[in-house]
Amino acid sequence: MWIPTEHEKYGVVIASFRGTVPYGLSLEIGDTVQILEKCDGWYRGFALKNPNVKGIFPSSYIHLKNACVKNKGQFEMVIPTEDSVITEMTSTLRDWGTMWKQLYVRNEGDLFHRLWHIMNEILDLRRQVLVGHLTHDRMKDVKRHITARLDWGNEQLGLDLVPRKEYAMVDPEDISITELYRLMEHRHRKKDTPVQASNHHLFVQMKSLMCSNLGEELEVIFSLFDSKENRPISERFFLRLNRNGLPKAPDKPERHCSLFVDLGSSELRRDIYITVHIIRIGRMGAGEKKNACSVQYRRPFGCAVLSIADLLTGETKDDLILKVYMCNTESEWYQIHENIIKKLNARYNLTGSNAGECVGLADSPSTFHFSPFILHICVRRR
Amino acid sequence: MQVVKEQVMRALTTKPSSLDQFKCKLQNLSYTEILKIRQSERMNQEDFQSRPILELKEKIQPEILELIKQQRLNRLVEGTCFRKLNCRRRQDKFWYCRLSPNHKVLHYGDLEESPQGEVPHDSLQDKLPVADIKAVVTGKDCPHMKEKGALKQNKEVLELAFSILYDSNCQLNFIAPDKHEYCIWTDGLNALLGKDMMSELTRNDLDTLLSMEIKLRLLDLENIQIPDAPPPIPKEPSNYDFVYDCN
Repeated sequence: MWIPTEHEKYGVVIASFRGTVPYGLSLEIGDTVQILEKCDGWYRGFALKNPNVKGIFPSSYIHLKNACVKNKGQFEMVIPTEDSVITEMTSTLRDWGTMWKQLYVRNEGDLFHRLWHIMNEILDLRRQVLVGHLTHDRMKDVKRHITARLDWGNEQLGLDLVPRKEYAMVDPEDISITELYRLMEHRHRKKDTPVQASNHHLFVQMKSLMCSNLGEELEVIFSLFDSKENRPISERFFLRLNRNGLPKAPDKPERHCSLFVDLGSSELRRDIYITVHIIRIGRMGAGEKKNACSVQYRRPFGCAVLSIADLLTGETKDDLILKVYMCNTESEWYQIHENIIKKLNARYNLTGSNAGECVGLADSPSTFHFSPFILHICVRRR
Repeated sequence: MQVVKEQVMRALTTKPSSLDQFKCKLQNLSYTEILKIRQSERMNQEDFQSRPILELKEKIQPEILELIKQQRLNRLVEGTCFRKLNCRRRQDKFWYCRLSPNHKVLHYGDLEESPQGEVPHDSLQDKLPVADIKAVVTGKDCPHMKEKGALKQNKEVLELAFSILYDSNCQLNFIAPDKHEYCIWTDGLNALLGKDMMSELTRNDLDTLLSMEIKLRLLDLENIQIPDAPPPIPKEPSNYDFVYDCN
C-alpha cells in the first residue's frame, strides 16, 4: 500500500541509485529529493533539480532532513527548515557553478579565478555555520562575511541583488513595497546604521456623516497630504455614502475601512494631514429645489482635515469627530484642503462658516503595528 | 556547550597525568584555539576519497573534459602570435595562427610586428585544413628541433616546441611563447584530432573544475555520513498503485 508520507518529505541522496526497477527514479549522490509517498521501504518522489520526473527509490538511500510543507497534497511545496542563509548559499553556489564553468569556456580567466576563490571561501564559511556550534557573535560575523561575498559574486556575474534583512533573504510574500524600497535604498547608500524598523500604519474607518439638510448621496475621499511639500503622499480611499450620511453597503463593514500602510516615523510629523474631501451627487446648487431635471451632478460639498500629530497626542481611542468646512467658493475647491490647513495654522478664516457637519472617524493609533498581510486583505476586498 | 564538551574531550585525549595539568590544557584550548583546530580539520576533509565520491567523479569527468575541450578550441579560434625561428639567429619576426570559427581550417600568416589584439582571419594568407593534419608532435620529436642542433641544447625552447605534420611530408613548426600557450595549443590540436588532451594544464583545470563540481553537488550532504557501499536495495514494492498519480 502506498501512503502519503507525513513527516518524511525532504531528504538528500547518500548513494547513487540507477533506478533499474519499474517506475525507478535514477538519483545521484548529493541530489535532494522531495518525497510524496512510501511503501515497503521505498519512497516515491522526485529530485528537486528535475521535479517533472517522478519515480520510486529505496528509502535507505535517503538521508531525511527536516522541512515544512506548504500546500499539502499532490502539489505540495517543501521548504527545508535550515537557516535561510544556508539555503540561499546552496542555491547561489549552484547557480554560480554553472556560470563559473561558462566563464571558463569563454576564457574569462580573471573572473574565473576570483570567483573560484570566493566560492571556496563561501564553501568554507558554509561549513563553519553547519559544523560550527559557533557563538552568537561569531555566527553573526560569519553570516556577514557570507552575505558580503554572495553580494559581490552576484554583482560580478550580473545577477540580481538580493534584498536582505538580518542577513536573510526577505520573503517577497512578507514584505511591503515601501519596506523593500527602504532596504534597497539603505543598501545603496552603504550606511552602517540599522534600518529603521518602525513602520506605522494608519487605520481609518468612516462611521457616519452627520448633517442637517442633506438628502443627497455623497462620495468621500480620504488621503494623506504633506503640507510642507504641498503634495499628497498616499493613494486615495474612496467611499460612497447614502442619503443619511451613512456608508453604503452596511453589511460589509470592511469597505468602510482603509489602511494607510508604511508611514515612517519621519512621516508622523505635524504637517502631515488626513484630508477628507466630500462630494455630493445631485442637484447643481446646494439649496436648489427639486426640479424636473434628473441629471445628477457631482458637486463639491466640503472638506475636513486632521493633523496626524494631533491624532497621536490625543490618547483617546474613541471616535474622532472632524469638522467639515463647506465649500462656498468653487474655484478654490482644488486647494480647499491647503486653505484649511493654512487657516488652522494661521488662524485665518477663509472657507465657509457652516461647520455644523461632522464626520465620525474611527482611528486607532495604538494598533499601528499591523503586519502588511492585513493590507493584502484590505486591498483585495476593496 | 558543544564547545565546552569539545574542549574537555580534546584536553582528555592528551592524557593529562594530573588534574592541574588537565586544567592547564583546558586553559590553552580557548575558543579561538578550538576554531583554529576545526579550521585545519576542515581543510583535511577537503579531499573526497571515499568510493561513492570517486564514482561520482568518474561520472562527471567526461562533462568537465568536454568543457575543457571547448575552452581550448575557443582559444585556438582566438589565435596566438608566435615567434619565428630563423636558422642562424632569432630575429624578432612573428607569425600568427588561428582556427576558423567552424573548427575546420587553420589560418596562418606572417606579421611584421607583434599585433595588438586579434588578427582577422582574412588577413592571414595561408590555410591548412584540419582534415589534412596527420599528427601533432612535441618537444624533441619536432622536425625543426631535430634539424637545428644548436637549438636542441636550449631546453626551454625544446619544451615549448610542437609541430603539425600534414599531407605527405609537410610540417608547420611552432614555438609557443610560454608554457601556458603550449598547453593550450597542444590540447586544442589534440582535441581537433579527436585525441586525449594530455597537458599539465588540462590536469590542473580538470582538478579545479571537478573538485568544485563535486563540492557543489555534495552541498546538501554536509555533516552527513556517506556510506562506503550503497545500502542494499529492498524487495520491489508489492504494487504500483500510487496515491498521487501524476504521470
